[in-house]
Amino acid sequence: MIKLVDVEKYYANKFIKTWVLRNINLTIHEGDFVSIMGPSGAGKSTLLHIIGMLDDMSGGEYYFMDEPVHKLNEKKRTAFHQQYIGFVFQAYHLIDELTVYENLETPLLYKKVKTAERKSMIADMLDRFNIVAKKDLFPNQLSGGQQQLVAVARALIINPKIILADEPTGNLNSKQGLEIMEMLKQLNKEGTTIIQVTHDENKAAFGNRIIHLADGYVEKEEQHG
Amino acid sequence: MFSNYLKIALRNLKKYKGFTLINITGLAVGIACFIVLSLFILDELGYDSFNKNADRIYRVYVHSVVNGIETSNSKTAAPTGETLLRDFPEVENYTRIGYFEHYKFRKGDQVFRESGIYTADSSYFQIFSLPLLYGDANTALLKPNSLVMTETLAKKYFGDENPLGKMIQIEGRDAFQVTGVMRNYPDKSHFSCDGLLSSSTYPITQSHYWLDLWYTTYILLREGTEPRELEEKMQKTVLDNVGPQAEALLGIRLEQFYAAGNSYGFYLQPLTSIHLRSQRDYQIDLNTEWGDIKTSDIVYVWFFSAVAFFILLIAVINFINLATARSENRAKEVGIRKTVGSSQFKLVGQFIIESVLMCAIAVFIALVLVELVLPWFNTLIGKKLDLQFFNNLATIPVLILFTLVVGLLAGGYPAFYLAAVQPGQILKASTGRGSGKSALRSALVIIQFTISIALIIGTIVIKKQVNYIQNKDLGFKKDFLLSINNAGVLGPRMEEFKQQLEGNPGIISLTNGSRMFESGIPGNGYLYDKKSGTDPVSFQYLDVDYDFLKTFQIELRDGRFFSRDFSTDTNAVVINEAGVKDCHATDPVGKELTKIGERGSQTFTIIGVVKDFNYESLHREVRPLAFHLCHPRQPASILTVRVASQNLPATIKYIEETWNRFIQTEGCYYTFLEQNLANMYIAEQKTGIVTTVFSILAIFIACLGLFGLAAFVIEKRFKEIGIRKILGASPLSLLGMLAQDFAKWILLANVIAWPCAWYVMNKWLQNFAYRTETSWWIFILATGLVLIIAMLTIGYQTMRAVRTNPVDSLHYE
Repeated sequence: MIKLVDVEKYYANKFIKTWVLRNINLTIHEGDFVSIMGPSGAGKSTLLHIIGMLDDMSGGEYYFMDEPVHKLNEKKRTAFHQQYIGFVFQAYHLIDELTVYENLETPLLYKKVKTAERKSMIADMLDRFNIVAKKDLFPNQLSGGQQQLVAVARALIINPKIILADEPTGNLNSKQGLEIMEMLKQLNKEGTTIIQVTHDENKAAFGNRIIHLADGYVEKEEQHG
Repeated sequence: MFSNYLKIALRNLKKYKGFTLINITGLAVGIACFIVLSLFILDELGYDSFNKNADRIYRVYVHSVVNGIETSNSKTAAPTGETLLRDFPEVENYTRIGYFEHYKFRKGDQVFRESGIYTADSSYFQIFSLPLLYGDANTALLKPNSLVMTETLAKKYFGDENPLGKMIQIEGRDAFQVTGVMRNYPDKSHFSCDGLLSSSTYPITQSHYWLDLWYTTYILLREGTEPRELEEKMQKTVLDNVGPQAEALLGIRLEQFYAAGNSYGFYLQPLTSIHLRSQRDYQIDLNTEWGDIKTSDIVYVWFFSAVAFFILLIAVINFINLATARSENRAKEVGIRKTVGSSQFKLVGQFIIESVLMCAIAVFIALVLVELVLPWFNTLIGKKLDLQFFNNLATIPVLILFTLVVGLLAGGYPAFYLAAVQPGQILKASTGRGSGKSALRSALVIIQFTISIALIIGTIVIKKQVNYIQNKDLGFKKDFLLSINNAGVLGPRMEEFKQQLEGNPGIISLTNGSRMFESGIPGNGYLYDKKSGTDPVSFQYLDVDYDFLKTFQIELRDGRFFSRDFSTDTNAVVINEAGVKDCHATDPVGKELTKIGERGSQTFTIIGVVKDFNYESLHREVRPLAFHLCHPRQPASILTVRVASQNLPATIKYIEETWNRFIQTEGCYYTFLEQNLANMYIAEQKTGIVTTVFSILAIFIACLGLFGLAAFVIEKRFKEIGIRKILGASPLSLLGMLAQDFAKWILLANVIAWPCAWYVMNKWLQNFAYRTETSWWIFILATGLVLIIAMLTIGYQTMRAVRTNPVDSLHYE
């Protein structure tokens, strides 16, 4: 599903190149649950952003569902975002000015889903995450865990093939964190591919593959179950 | 989707109330200024275009260079139109306007003096599109003593009844028959009057004399005629007709006259250029225009267009600056939207919709402001500007288009700037907060302050010049002079009236002379110390009495002024120093001066020279002037009274009472001379007021933007300020640090503003023969003023930041 060949990323600052990622070769199959681990500054988030097409790479090749992302234009990438990729962030990243309901609605609007269908999809999602009562609240009226729940709901509403989660539990207490991880595990069982970035061993263990990054290189890979 | 955008936009406006307020206020004030100035400019444009054939109507004017002096006269000789029509098939029709005298109209037992009646040829209504309410446009002005009244005049004498065919009794001459009633002249007509009398009333209008320039001649050219070609062909006609008559007068052939470096020709000026370009592009001597003419200068149109554009620019820059400054707050939203599938294009759309929405609110507020302010602005500038919402189909579409354009201008850059953000960068958990600095933002602020400083310099220079004009020594004592403007009606009883006034202790001196200062001072060619020659000197001349010099308190330089002791003084002439200079005379007193005239030239002996005084507006140098001892023409006669400063009301009451004993039919119409003088500079005064008002507004808008920007920059540096305080920085040093950037911008703005303002204002001052200087202190003052205002603006924000407890700002992170 995802294939990275010799991917590298650096920031050119006058005469000095600051390397963030080097020599990344990685294949992720449909149904994988991949955890990316590593110390601060190892390039975990950057890798995730490149996979999510939120950031450009400096070199190498990237195939998403056999399409060469490194050659695609903005429009095509946008289409991928609309159809296949859902994001969950550590800082939730909900739109502050929109209510829960409207936040869930936004991806569907971009996907041009018809009104009636949209309403039922949002209703389903609110039901499933048990947040019907919160639908007219703004993000700052919710607790962190509730916000992350909405964020996951928003990622799922387009029924994505893959969810990219950047430290999804980093801002949550352990109980809330566990709930979110269980949810991701459940989604994975139902067939969604998941890539998460984390530096928590326990959380990483939810995945079937753990990739360790250090100084921009893949240090090692573990396989589970 | 659209409703989603709208929701976000409105919630953002509400959430960042300060920014919204600053943005919308600035934009609204800017747009209001723009609209008001646009109305002002639109009002100046399009004069005379109400005429169906406006683009084919030309006014004939006379351009001459005599003895090195160049003049353009708006009036032409009586036979000009007729001759052009006869000789050139390109000329389709012509008409002339003339002016002869005031008339005393009788209505029952009352008599009114009507001074706004001009004569016109019967073809007048074929050339100008002025509809007649009553009467036949083609025949109304054919027979002698036929009068076409304007609506207003007709109402005065006949009320609401149809006056067609009725007679109006005129004191001392034949009655007029009303042959038509025309609509009042449109406001945008360079010429207007109260009534038109048939030219045939005066047989002299049929004269074939080419050297008296008494009429404005308008010709209608056939479609497709090239006026330049016709102008060239016309010159031979001039030579053929003017030549023999000039030869008889000057005693030399016209070829000789030309050979001496002189020229004389008839040229064409497009009708639509008269209002704005007569003086600037055609150098028409304002003095030769009719008293009721409305002329202005295209320079003011340019000037106010520039002001309008720049104020709008300042407001738009505020918008761009505040929007990009705020972009970091919005960047997160951009990132999220991109991750959930928005394209860059849609984001640009979203932000532009937001800015158009804001602009629409601003336009709405601006329209309210304009409606509130227009009456006040109208009294200020003496116009009737009006925002026509519903009686002009174009207004609303234009406003909508304007909203879109300004919205795009203001929102375009921030939209692309924001939409281009890479989501990966922003959405990382720890985004570093920027310094709030941006090269573009700095450049835009510099532009704003350049404009503001330049406007202030302009304002000060205009004020200084207006001041200079008001206080300049004109060569005579201008205070406590009273002009009785309708003194001509006294007729033969003038001397008796003067004696009556002289008896009053409140009256120091009085003199009856022909009109000065505003337009209508006659000119003529004079020969110095010879009776014929190719080098006549152009003099303006005044008909005066013995007491002119005494009343105006003008200095005598040589010889003497007219005196009752010399019975020969009717053959004497007094000239001014400029006349001496132009005649190249060394010892003029006792020499002869010959006035060239139709019915033979007249020779006078020069008996005295007076010091130059400004008998015309300060726009021009003092020109040669000749005084003749004779009664002025009735309509031009003005009695000037020098009154004592004490008991002024009593003196004025005495003058009025005496007047009423002499003249029962009309009141004494008097003005203070100083007021008449001030009237000559109304355009400058208005410009002064308008620029002051708009400079203040421009600075207000610019400072509004600065206020917002300062708030933003300081918010960005909140943490830095906290750290510095902990490290022991004094409030003053922090203040200095924060003000530094802004001060740098303003100083840089000066570097650009100074030369620009200097150049433009010197250009403007060229309009005046007598002018003030663009002194260095004006520039320093403008800079200082802006610097102080700007520092006060940011000072508030800065102090707030400096006073905050450092722990608060650090706790934040």
